[in-house]
Amino acid sequence: MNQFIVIKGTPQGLRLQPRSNNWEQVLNTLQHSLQEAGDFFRGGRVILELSPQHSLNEVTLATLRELVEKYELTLWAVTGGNLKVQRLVRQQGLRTKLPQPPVPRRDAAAKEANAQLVERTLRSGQRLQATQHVILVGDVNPGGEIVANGNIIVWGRVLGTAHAGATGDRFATIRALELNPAQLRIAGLITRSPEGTKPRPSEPEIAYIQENSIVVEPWSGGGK
Amino acid sequence: MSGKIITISSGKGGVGKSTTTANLGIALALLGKSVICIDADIGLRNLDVMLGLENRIVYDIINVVTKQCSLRKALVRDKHCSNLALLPAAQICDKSAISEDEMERIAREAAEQADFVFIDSPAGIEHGFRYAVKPADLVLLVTNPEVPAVRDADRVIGLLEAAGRAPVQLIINRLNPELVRRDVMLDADSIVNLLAIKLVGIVPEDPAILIAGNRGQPVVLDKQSLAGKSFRNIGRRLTGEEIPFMSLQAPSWLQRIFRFQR
Repeated sequence: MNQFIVIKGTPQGLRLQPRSNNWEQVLNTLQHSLQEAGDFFRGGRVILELSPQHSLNEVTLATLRELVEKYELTLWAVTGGNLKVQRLVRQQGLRTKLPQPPVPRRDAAAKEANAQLVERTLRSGQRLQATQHVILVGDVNPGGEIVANGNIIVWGRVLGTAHAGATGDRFATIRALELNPAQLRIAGLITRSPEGTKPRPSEPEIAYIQENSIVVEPWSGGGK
Repeated sequence: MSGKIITISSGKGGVGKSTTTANLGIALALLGKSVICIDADIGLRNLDVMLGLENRIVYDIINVVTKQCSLRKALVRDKHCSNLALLPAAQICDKSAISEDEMERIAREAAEQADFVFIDSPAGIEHGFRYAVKPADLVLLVTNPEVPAVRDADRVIGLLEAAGRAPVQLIINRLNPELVRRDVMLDADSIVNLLAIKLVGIVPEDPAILIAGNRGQPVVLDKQSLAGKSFRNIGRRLTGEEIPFMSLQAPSWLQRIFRFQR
């Protein structure tokens, strides 16, 4: 990627991995990248990932902080580095370890949650929001939106947008008699219909998350 | 006597609301009904032009609202049918000059004097749309066989349903059977299927409509035009008659050859 610094956007924040001890070059490169990105990263958190060989002094840390704040980012954590670096980081009130990302697991409570039954057509500009599961008997027209913290079952056509697991349940599913949505969302993932394709022959389908992407397959009844 | 108040609306602009209003007004007048058309598009009036009545306007709807003249005095009698009258929009004001209640009062007063009152709604879903649909006993939604127009129609139906307003029925305007046959235009079935409301008419695309609108001679008066016939049929359906939908399907080249042989 770059000989001085590697930048990765992750769900936890923007990960900076310096490849050099030449901090002047590293920070210069970083500034260029942030400049190019415009306000794409704005409001995000920054994680600096050091290897044990990296040295880091107070002035460099302060400069880095100033730089990211100029682009409306927050320096959140500095991981790795030697003991001296870690002590300095702690003194500055920053994290040295990232919290473990929550491991998604099927919550017994969520599985048992109640479902809301709604019988209507969700027309363009209309939005149905459910705190648990939702069963819609009717269509979601283009421009309409159905959102649930749990699963979504549509006894009809989904031509608009459906968002299951809206509060982050990655085990949430979307099932419909006809699934031809503008967009499908499950937890934090978004997928859209391939462009320029004719709607497929309609058969009941189910959408769920598999290995960090949303897959859609025939719904042969029963649960996943 | 209290007539039926029918608002012609669409959401999207340019789909043929004023054309529909003018033609249905004349269609019902030709059936012997007394009709008043109200142009609710204040500031952008054009129903008068389509009816060819522009040069006969003396008073307008705002004069009636401000009680500068009576409704009866503001009405412009149509030159084609003596039992059709137009209440013109004001051109020098904008839509904020009239409230929902004032529009309702005027429409009700008009309904006292006529069998049918048509209100030509402005495009959009803002104040102008709201005051136009407030007094309606029936909303006729005009759409074109185009994705954006159908999307906006769906939005309007949603708003009307949410407000618990009058029943909504559908008119599909400017359908081109040849394009439908080639599978590049939405067909009537899929539009009705999506919008899930009652269809009262399909008007084919017809250059005669444009010419008629420019001349102030609505196409419904043209006995030759298929579009004119569609409007006359819709008019009869509005009086409660059951009229089967005509076939608009353009003959395929094969059918054309067979007809030629015969």
